[in-house]
Amino acid sequence: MKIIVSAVILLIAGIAGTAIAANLKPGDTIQASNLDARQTDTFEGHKVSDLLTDRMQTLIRNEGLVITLAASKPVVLGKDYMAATKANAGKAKYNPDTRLVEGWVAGMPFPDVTADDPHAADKLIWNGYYAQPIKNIQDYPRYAYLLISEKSGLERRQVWRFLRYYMKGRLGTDTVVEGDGSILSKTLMYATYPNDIRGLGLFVQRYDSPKLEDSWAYLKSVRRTRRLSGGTWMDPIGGSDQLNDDIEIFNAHPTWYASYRLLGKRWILATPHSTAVTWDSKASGNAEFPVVDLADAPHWNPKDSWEPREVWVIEAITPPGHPYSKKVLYMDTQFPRFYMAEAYDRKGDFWKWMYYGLKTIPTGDGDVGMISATGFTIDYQRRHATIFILGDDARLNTQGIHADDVNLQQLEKVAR
Amino acid sequence: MKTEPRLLMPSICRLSAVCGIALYGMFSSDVALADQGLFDGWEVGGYVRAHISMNLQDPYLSNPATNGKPRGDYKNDVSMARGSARLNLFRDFGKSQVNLTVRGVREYETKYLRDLQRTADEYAATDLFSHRSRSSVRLMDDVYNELDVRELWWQVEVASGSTLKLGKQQVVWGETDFFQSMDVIHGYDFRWRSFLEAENEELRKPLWMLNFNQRVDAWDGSMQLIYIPGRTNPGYTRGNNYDVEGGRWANTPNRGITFASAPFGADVPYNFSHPGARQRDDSFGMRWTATAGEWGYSLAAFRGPSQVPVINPNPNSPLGVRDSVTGRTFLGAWKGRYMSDPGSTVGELIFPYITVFGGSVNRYLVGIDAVFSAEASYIPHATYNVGVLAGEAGGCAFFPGFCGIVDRPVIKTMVRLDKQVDLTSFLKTSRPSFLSVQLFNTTITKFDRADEIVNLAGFSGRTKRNSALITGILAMNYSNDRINPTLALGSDLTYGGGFVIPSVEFAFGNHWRVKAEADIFFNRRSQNRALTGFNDTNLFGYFAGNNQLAVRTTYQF
Repeated sequence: MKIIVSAVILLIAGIAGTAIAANLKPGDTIQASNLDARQTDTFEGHKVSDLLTDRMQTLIRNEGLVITLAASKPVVLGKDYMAATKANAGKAKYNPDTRLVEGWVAGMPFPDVTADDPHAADKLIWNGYYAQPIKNIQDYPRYAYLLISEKSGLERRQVWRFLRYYMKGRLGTDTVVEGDGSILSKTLMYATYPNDIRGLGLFVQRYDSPKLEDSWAYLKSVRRTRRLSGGTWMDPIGGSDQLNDDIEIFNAHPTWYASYRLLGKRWILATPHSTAVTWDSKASGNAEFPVVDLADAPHWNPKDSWEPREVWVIEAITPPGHPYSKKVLYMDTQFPRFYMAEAYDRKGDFWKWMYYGLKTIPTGDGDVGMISATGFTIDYQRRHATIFILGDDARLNTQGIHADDVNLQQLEKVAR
Repeated sequence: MKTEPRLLMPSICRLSAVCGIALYGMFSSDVALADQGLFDGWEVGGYVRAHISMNLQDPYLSNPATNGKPRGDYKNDVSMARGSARLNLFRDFGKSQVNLTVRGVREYETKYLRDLQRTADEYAATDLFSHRSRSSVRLMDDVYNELDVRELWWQVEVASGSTLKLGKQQVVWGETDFFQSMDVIHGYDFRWRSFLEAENEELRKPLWMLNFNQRVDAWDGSMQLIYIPGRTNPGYTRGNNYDVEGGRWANTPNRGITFASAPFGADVPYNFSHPGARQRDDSFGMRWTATAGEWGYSLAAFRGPSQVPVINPNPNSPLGVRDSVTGRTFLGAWKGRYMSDPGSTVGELIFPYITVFGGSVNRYLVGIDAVFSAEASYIPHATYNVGVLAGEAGGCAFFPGFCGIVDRPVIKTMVRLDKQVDLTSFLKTSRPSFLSVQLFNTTITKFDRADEIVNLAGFSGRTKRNSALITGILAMNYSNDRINPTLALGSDLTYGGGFVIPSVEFAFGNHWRVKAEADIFFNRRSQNRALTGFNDTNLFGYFAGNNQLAVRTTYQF
């Protein structure tokens, strides 16, 4: 009899256990109210607790982050990107003495990084630096920065135009390198809103070397171009919560950081296929930016679709003078782009969380490329956030744009 | 002296011509407008703004009835209550762009401004040669209130790398802040707000011009050609407007004194038709800008009216002229021509045409993490007034500087360092602060002290061969740039004096901006009374008594 009772109890426990560890479906949410209950649930074969980083758990539990699940889909990368990666495989070599890469042509310099490679982290960072899965031109007619405080919600917004031209590693063309090979990319951007910064323009020249970037600003209020310091790569961008090297999670020459360490490979929930409407120009108020939960405190949580992705986890140690002590980066294992990061202050305390919603779009030449539909940089110490919102008219590889359209001489011409 | 119109609306002809060209360009552009009407796609921006300023000192305002004793105590009086609105319209048609900027200004006539006008009228009435009863200048209408097309241009890419910008616009050359070395194309209106305006587009006097730019990609540079037709730009739109109307920024002790309707008939009107300073003559400029290695550089030349006027003395002045007791001879009229009424004026303000050659360099210095900039200009024939003594001390005429005009070669140089300084720990700023220090030097290469060159006619300050000023700006940011204090400092290393301007700007949301500042001036010497007691007063002496508190509130859209 005792055995039978025990068996029944075990059976009931098993049934109950099965009921708790449910298989979640696309559209299900993970939020503070069900986080504990769903720890053992699974989604596409992964336990929820395994898909959430410790930081994500905290943000869901304490900061109102709500994750809406979406069925995972393969990420389609550009044909030219993949072809260049394959054609040039093995040409790039990492030199641990200089921390530089030699022999890179185009595509991912290190497509087959393994966790046991002693320089795996450096190579992955170089993959990100050299070979974002985009094409040769990023042409964004408008993007916005939303400045948000926990107390008052959306404080301010800025609207900018962005144009970046890659001079090296060019895809889908015989001219893989334009110019003398010293310049990696040239970027032109200028503000269109609000009125006090309207006409402010920036031109940035990034080198294929540890040399600091050259940059100039056109100040409309004085109608003059002014050279800027190259040493601002680790400074905040204007009044935002984002450092220059936080753009798209990691925006520095790999050698500017002190070192990198591979913490491992794991699965997380991320947004490689952003489905949210980022910017509804016809709406007003909080509804204008549906991808951000502006209505509910703390007013900065993303509202997008999340799917399981395998990522590399990389620790980036900053150089002296940098505001952070380190960044922990989450990069897709199939392509070198970051989904999220955690930044820690000099005392080692958690400071900022960065999250990017990615999306693949057709390019102007019939291929595909990847863009950041949104980018969140949230300062949990100052309780303030800066959110990047890309307009739906973003383009890649726009036909008719040439290298000479993106240079210092154009700065005064394009600024209002 | 005829009163210059303050309504700077272009003539119907000028406006129509540019509008016609712009419309032709827009519709002949290769950009299809089928899906967008003419009124779609315009970027609209602008602001509505209020300025208010208050005297922190008692500015000297002479009283004609008491032989120049101070008229009253104006400390804490409102010196400016100004409302302005600006509308910008911009549209990008692809190959071409069109921009229209209109600004309207109305000021409230404060008690202080009423007294300035009253003084100017009373002094004008002392004319010995006529029976006028008031000044020819109405400060409110002629100086402060305005409705102005600030910009109206059409920019088109006529060929790959070739851009033509046609219309009323602003073009600035050079690197230096505050001073004008290669920034020679436009004059500035320093009458409603003197020279310490960070957003100097508000003070600049736009011009109708043809501005052609040819990119030269092989040399990583561009060539700019400027043509400014003299007939299209009235004389009063050229050169700097210093406050010679007797307004709130008139040099101490000349508040309430209108040069064109001066006391006792010592009138000094503008003359835009002097053969050496004929504003109907065209102006030309060319500039090459490029980068070479780590350096950015520019080379430029410009032919046009000087920005600083000089006074051409009337050789037949009804108040008399003579050689100075110092030995400085009276030179007579410049180039032998005096064109104002010889029977009722003592001099005329002219803007001689000059040629300026110059260049600038800049580069980022990794070692000190700073941006270095330098600028130099050479003016072979810069014009100066001469004669240190006033008539009361045996000078050529009633005022110092009225012995005539000389031209001398001048070199102006500037060096500057910009650096981001990390004060986040020290001052708790939210990001590194911007620090800029510059040294500005002027050298008269063929200098003879016996020339008795004066820094400014009407004052006895004698010019030295070399003179230098140093300025510094520290711009800080707090609370995600919602609170932005700035400290600007300057010192005249040659003639003494300087300024301190602490300010703070608050940003509220997308629309509201409030800026408060104190303008504090120091001087080594200033002239205490109008029309007498001329002494060694120089730049910062002109600002004696002008300390002020100013608040600017802006709603932008």
